[in-house]
Amino acid sequence: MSAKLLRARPARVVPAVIVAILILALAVGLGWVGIAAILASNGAMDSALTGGVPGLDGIGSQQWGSPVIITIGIALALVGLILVIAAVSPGHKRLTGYRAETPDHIDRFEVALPTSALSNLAAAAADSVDGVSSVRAASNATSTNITFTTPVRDNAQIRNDVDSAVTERFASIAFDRTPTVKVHAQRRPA
Amino acid sequence: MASSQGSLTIADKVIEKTASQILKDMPGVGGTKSGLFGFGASSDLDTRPSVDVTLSGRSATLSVQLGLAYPTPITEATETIRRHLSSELEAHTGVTVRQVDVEVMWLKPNASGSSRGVRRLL
Amino acid sequence: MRRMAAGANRTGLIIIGLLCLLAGLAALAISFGLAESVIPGLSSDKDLKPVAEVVGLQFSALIAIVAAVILAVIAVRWLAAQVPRKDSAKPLRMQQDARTGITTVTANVIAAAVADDLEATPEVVDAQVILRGTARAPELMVHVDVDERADIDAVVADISNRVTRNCSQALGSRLSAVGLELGIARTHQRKQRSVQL
Repeated sequence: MSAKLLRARPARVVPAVIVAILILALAVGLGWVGIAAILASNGAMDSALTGGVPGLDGIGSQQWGSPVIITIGIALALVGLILVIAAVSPGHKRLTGYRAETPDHIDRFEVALPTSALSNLAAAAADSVDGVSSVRAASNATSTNITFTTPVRDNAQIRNDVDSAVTERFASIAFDRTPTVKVHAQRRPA
Repeated sequence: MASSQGSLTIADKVIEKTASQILKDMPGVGGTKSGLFGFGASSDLDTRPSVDVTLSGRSATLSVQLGLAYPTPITEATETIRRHLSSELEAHTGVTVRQVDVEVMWLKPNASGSSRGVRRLL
Repeated sequence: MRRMAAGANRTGLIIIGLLCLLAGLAALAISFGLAESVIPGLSSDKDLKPVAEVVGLQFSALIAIVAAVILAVIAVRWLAAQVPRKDSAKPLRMQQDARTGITTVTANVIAAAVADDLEATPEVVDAQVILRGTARAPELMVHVDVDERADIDAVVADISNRVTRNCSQALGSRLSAVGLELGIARTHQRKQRSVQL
């Protein structure tokens, strides 16, 4: 089985952009220090970095056990761990599979709904229930959480209606796995 | 012998116009009208396709930019166009058509060109 | 729909992450005196003179500049890779015999025709299409936004039976892959202001 046509997992764009910008900043800093050192020694190509930045050889007086070094070590290790986790963990699935028959003029047919579509479907279904004044819905690939507001004090019946409206809507769609539905009511006096 | 009867010269523009008209009369073939600075440009089955002719001796190579009705099979449609255009152009102007390069610029459903009615294939 | 540099991002992150992690752990190991058993004499009360000597070496400024340029190139290329790519097919060649002439269709022409066709599907509000692959093995990537009350199964059935069949017919070959992503458009977010009859 080759890779999926539709990208279900996050591409880790944000951490990649942050790290790339940090590398760029490091490059600019390093280049700056290098050029400063060469300029300080009137363009001698064999000049040392310390020539341009006087404080640089101060590193030598630090001890390995000093708090500064320990802090840097901990920070580096933590950042590294976070990046490794971001790279290895698959991340939230953003697509829910849909069961579609492959017609004979197509070799491979993949259909999916993003989680935002689940939320919108659920919100629309809940909106149609009498007594509901506003709806919010949040979804992942397997479940949807619906929060609706209503001016009605005794809202158990409305909650049931919303639950069955959304469940019915989902049941009418040929999902690979029908998402589960959770409903919360919030009373807001009219 | 030709000189005693006079000679006939056909400008490349004339061949382009003729080819363009032959294409326009085919069903399911259209072109793009260029508007002023790109504004008001329109593509439909009632517009003439644009044709570029390169003449060498008595033979011509054509490059055609046209639009087709969707979903006509593109390969078959353009082969038909190529054959039809070559034979018609040879009959009308006497030049031998060597090659017809076709660039399909757009594909549109046939229904929009309601004014066309059914056209007879020439 | 559009392709992201997911593989490159994850590979890049894991390399940088492991480098940071190892450097941090190594520094901590020395700081807490754990490295002494591996490298005798490297105890926590030693100073960082050996490290500082590196930046005092001859030519270290030049090496720093070279390293800076390399890092900058890597960073800029990585950033550039974040732009989502369409990866459309190259212009399709669709003639039977190249000697009598070439037929060219660009991927965008096909994609636009399919998108128009999709918008003829009832309850489809918006459609985006990318054609990938070749004329022999075309791949369609489709995103449609449908109305919130639409019959999803009917929309999928129309796309699989009519729209993709039209495309396959126009191209004169089977579609080797079709990826369809369905979004839901909330009605109150859109208002149709005219009707075309």
